[in-house]
Amino acid sequence: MKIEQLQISGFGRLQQREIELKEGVTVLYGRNEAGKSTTLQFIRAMLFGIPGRAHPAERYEPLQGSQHGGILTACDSTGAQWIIRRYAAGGEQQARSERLSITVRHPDGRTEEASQEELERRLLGGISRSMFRQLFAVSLDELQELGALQSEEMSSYLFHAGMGGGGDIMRAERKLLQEAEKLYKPRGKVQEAAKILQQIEKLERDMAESRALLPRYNANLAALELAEQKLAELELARNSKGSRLKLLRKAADIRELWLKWREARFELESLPEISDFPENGTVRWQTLEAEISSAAGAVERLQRQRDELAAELALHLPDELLLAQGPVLDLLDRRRVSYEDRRAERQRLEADLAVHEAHLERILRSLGTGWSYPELAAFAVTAAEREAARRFAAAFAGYDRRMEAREAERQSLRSRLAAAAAALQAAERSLAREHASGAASFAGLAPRSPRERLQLWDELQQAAERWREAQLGTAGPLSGPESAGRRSSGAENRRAARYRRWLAAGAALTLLLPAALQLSGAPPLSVWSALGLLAAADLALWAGLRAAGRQGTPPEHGGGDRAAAAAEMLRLRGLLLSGAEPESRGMDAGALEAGMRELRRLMEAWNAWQQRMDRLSGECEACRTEAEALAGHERALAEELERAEAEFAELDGRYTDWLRQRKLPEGLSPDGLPDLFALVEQGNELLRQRDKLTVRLGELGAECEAYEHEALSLLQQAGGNSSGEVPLFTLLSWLENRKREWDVLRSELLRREGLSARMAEMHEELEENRRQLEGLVHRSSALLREGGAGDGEDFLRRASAVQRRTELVRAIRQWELAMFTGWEGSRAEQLQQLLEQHDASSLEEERSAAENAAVNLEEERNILLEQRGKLLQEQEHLHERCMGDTVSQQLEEQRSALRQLAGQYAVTALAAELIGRTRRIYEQEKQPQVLQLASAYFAKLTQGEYRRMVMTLGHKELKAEHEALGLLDSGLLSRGTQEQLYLAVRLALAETMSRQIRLPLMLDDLFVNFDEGRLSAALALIGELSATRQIVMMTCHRYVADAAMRIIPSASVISV
Amino acid sequence: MIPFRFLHAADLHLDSRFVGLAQLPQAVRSYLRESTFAALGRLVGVAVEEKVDFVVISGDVYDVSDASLQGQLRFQEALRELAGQGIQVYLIHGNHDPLDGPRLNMELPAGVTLFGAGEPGQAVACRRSDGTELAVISGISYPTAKVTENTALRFSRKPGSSLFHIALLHGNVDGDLQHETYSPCTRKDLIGRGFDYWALGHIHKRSILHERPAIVYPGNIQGRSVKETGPKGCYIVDVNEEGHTALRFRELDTVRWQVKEIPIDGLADEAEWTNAVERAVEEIRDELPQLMSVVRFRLTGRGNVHRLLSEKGAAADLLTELQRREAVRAGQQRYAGLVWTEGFSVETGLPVDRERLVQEDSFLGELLRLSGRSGQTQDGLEDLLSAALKPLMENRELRRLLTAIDGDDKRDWLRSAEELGITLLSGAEEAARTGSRHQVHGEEAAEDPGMPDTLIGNSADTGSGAEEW
Repeated sequence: MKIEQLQISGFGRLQQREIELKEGVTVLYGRNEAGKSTTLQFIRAMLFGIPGRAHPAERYEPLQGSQHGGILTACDSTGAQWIIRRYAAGGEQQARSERLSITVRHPDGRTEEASQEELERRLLGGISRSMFRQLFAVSLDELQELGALQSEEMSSYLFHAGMGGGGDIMRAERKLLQEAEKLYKPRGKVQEAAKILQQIEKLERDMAESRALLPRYNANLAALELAEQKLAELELARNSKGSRLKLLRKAADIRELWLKWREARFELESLPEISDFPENGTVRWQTLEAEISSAAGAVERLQRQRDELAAELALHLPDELLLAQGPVLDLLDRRRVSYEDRRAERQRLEADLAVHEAHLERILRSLGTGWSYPELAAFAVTAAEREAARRFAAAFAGYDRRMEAREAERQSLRSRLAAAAAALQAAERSLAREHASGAASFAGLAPRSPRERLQLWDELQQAAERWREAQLGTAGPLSGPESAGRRSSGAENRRAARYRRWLAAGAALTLLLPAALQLSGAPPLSVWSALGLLAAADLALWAGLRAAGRQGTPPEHGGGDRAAAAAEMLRLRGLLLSGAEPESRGMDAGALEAGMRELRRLMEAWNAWQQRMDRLSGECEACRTEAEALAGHERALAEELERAEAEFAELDGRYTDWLRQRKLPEGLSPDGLPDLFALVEQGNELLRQRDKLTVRLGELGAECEAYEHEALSLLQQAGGNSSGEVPLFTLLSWLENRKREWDVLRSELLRREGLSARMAEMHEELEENRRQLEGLVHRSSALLREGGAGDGEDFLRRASAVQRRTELVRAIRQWELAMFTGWEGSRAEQLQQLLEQHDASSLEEERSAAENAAVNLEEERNILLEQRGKLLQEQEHLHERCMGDTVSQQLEEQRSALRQLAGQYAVTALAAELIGRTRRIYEQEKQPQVLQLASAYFAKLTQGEYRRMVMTLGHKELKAEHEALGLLDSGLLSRGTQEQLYLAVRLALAETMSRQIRLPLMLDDLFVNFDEGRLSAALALIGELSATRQIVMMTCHRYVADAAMRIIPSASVISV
Repeated sequence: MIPFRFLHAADLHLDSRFVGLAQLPQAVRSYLRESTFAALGRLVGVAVEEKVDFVVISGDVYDVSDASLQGQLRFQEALRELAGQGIQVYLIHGNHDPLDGPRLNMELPAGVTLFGAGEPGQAVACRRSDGTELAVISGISYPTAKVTENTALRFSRKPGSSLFHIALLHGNVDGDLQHETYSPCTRKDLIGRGFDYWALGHIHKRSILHERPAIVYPGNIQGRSVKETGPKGCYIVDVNEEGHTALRFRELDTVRWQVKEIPIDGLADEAEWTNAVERAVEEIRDELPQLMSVVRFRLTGRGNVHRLLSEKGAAADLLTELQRREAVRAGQQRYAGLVWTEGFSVETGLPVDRERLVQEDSFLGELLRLSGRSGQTQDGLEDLLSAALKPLMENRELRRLLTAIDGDDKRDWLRSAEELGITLLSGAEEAARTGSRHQVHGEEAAEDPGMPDTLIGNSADTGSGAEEW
């Protein structure tokens, strides 16, 4: 880098100053306060910024108020021009707030703006402000500051370069050594390594034990084998002893048995030997004997039984006839029940028939005369007959209805007539009362009254006469029909009934009338007359009734009797009237005088009375007229009745004919016809039933007869005793007995059959038994022959001998088995020998001895087994031990840990060692480049008086080696020499540190303490250095400037 | 030739220790310990299931050095089981279980052929079904733990036999012939002996060295440390009429070892890093749901998370947490899908340009150059180590441990020490600084390391934490 131009706008006492700097050395010469140092500060400020207000001494505020700052133009190694414009901003503001513009003009014409950082990095090569100040822009004060060398940047550089910062290297070394000691220290107890070593020691002891496992195991194996071997030997001994003991025990055990066995053998030898004796001879012989005797017994018994049976069979022979009749008897017996049923039925039917016939008779009787069964059967009740009967009935009924209506009409007429008569009587009575009252009151009027009375009487008589006529007119029509109606009994009956009704009505009227008259107060005469009329009528009626009741009496005489009675009555009435006449007369006479005085009054009363009399007589008259009209009516009605009677008679005749034709009883009313028809039908039905019964009876009779006949024929066959008639009961009881006999016979036959069969069986059995017996006898003799015996006894003797022998043989065999089972040949022999040779006590003795030996052996064996068990246990233990044994691995782990630690230690210690060695190299052999360069410069500056300078590491001591005096501490040098020494160091540092970017060097009057020679040397050195670097020297001494001019020809001097 | 089938296994290392695991919970420890036996059980199962005619075991059945009684007992048991199935077993002893080692004094079950030392023994294997002769099997056991002789040269075919020939040999093929103590031989030696199948043991990594004749390392049947990663098992070998072999690998292990790399580049903070690790754990769980997995995470790459790991012990914290979770799972006997984080191998660094740093003329540059120089030669390394680890050598146990450390591990330590130096020294500077400016500065430097200021301001960092196992 080269500074080309300084344009100072305002800086300290400098203002508006421009300074051009050239390559090589430039000397700024000027008096004191000319601004040399200010220029130096200006350059610093331009490059690194104007110092803040905090540092007023370095800030260099312009004294004359011009703008604080300026422009610095520099050129870098590539030829690019850097123009740095820097002005402090406003007085009040902080240092940082300065106006800065950096423009870079490249040689190829490019321009760019750069920042302060770029400036420092690219133009200044990363040198910091302080470094720049200490190394490149140096004033005398700074040169003498030894501490300047210890600024952090520089010292790090020196340290790195091995020059000044040795303290850190020493520290690092010490730290490493401490760390190493922490890891391990000989004979130390607390270090990690010590712990691990202890552990290892312990584990190695364990390891020894662990290693011993294998030999122990081997020893164990060997001991075990030995034990096994001994055991095997012992086992052999035990076996042989054991077998001897067993033999002895056995001998003792079986001794009893053995004795028996021997005895048996001796006995066996004594027995004869019988060969080929039949097997089971005795038993067989005995069996045969028993069988023979039983067989013989059986034969005998069977024969006896057979004879008995034959006898029994011969005893009873059956009835042949009964045998022949048997089946028929059975048949009859089976049919007997039905036969008896039929008989019973026949009897019942006969009874029924009788009943029917009686009933029929009854019907016939009720039907009427002359009818018998044929007629009854012939009379068919046809529809036509029924119709005819109905018609008749209807005709009669119609007649009856008509008659009744007319009778009713007549009755009403009679009642009206009675009413009219009553009204008349009332009228008459009132008249009479008037008359009487008149007569009583008008007695004085007698002269005139007789006439009038006579007149009245006449009128009265006339009235009586008219009444009598009327009375007669009424009775006349009555008698007519009566006489005519006597022809049929039915009509007569009806009429009689009618009369009875009329009579009752009439009687009632007759009884009521007097009362009614009494009430109405009619004059007695008229009362009596009315009564008389009524009584007469009643009598007439009564007579009619009597005539009607008397049937069969000739009805033609009825009318004559009534006329006579009427005449009788007329006569009686006449008497009565005549009796009354005197009375009225008498009365007329007595009342004449009295009636004369009162004649006028009486006449007037009489006139009234007369008028009343007239009105009353009129009324009477009207009543009378009405009564007459009614009577007329009655007469017409009577005629009509008569006509109806005639029609009735005609109908009756036809009816009678009809009846006669049908032979029906006369007088049968048509109403009774349906009943008759019903009877006829009933009769017919009965007839049919009777016929049926008759037929049935015939059949039954035939069947019964056939049965009886059959029975009878049997009876005749059987007995023959009663060929004739046999009573039925006898026959039946015989039949029954016969049947019973037949049943008995039949069972008898069955029994016989059974007996014959048994006999046949028995016969066979007998034969069989006989054969068996023969066989048995044969076999018995054969057996005897076989046994070589003469007879049975001999045979038995021989048999027992054989049996004994067999028993003995078996016993011997059993004992042998019991004694020697499980003891094969040789040992059995041993056993026998033992038994032969020893008696019981010696055997016992020997046995106890053997047992003792065995016990001893067993004990020994147990001991051995125990030993073996222990060994096995130990083996097991060893096994387990080795399974869980990790000592070896643990040891390995500890060793690994130790190895790691050793590695750590080694690295640490090695690093320390390396540092130490390098340090020694540095100290002893190799000074750093800077020091070497500085030494060279120093030598030059001192013109060889001092050879070099040396720096001890860690102590920061700079020493100078004098040509003759050797190493001298820098503090002991003279001031000038000291300054020369520092200059040399600075130059060397500057030279070393900015090799690439050669920063300009600015030296502010550093040579004042140099003598002439050394000044020259220094200037010469500057001159040398200026070949590669721009150097600016400031001085206020003329001689320095002159010397510079002289020694460095290329130097330019600028006077400030 | 009659076709047949056999099972080839080696290096059972029954009941051997699991290396590199520290502070196991009891449940996990028990399960791990049982895993070799489980694998053996599965071997028996596979033999039965595949109906093999016989089984060959090429040495190192157990670690006799551990003299594990259990191992021997369990092996006996397995042999009895195979014998019970009528499967013949042919076996030799290797360097871990030489004939002179402590041995259980028990007879081998019938049907088990153990080849002795001295001359290679010979046996004829027969078909399981009918006893037809199938193959001639030769083998030789280690009399002691060390056999420097090339025993392969002693093998020879049975004269006049046209049967398939199998040789059982425990040793290192194509190793260092001069210094090898485990029956060193070359492939050529083996091919030259005329055998049809070399059933090898000793190398735990499965490999088929040659096709015809087949020269086969089946590897061990159960991984035992993070050096034995991936599926472990045995080979089922089918021999056809022509005598050609076809090999099928069958997994037997119940615990699978893995190394997973987790680059920290681009991980912004601890949470992201924790997520990445947990995700990786779950991936493994999903991948092997039926097995228990033991995993080591290699943290690689450069990033700011490194500082967390190296200074704040974040890795140790997370490890504790992960192990705690899985311990809970193990406590519930849910071993299938259990993922045990064995540890973090922190190989990360701060985001610095190490190459540049090495060339730089600075303290760190000098340090790295010094370290580089020392690491290059064995002596230099030893010199550095003996100086650094001098205190450790005073302890017997540690001495023994350190002498067993191989060069690679030592170089790893050195690399970690370098990173630690970088971290510390740059860290010391940064600790001295204050303010946010440093942060900005640092980031700028990360982006553009070309600036000189970078060299000053952000001296290289990195340095490995102590996560070395």
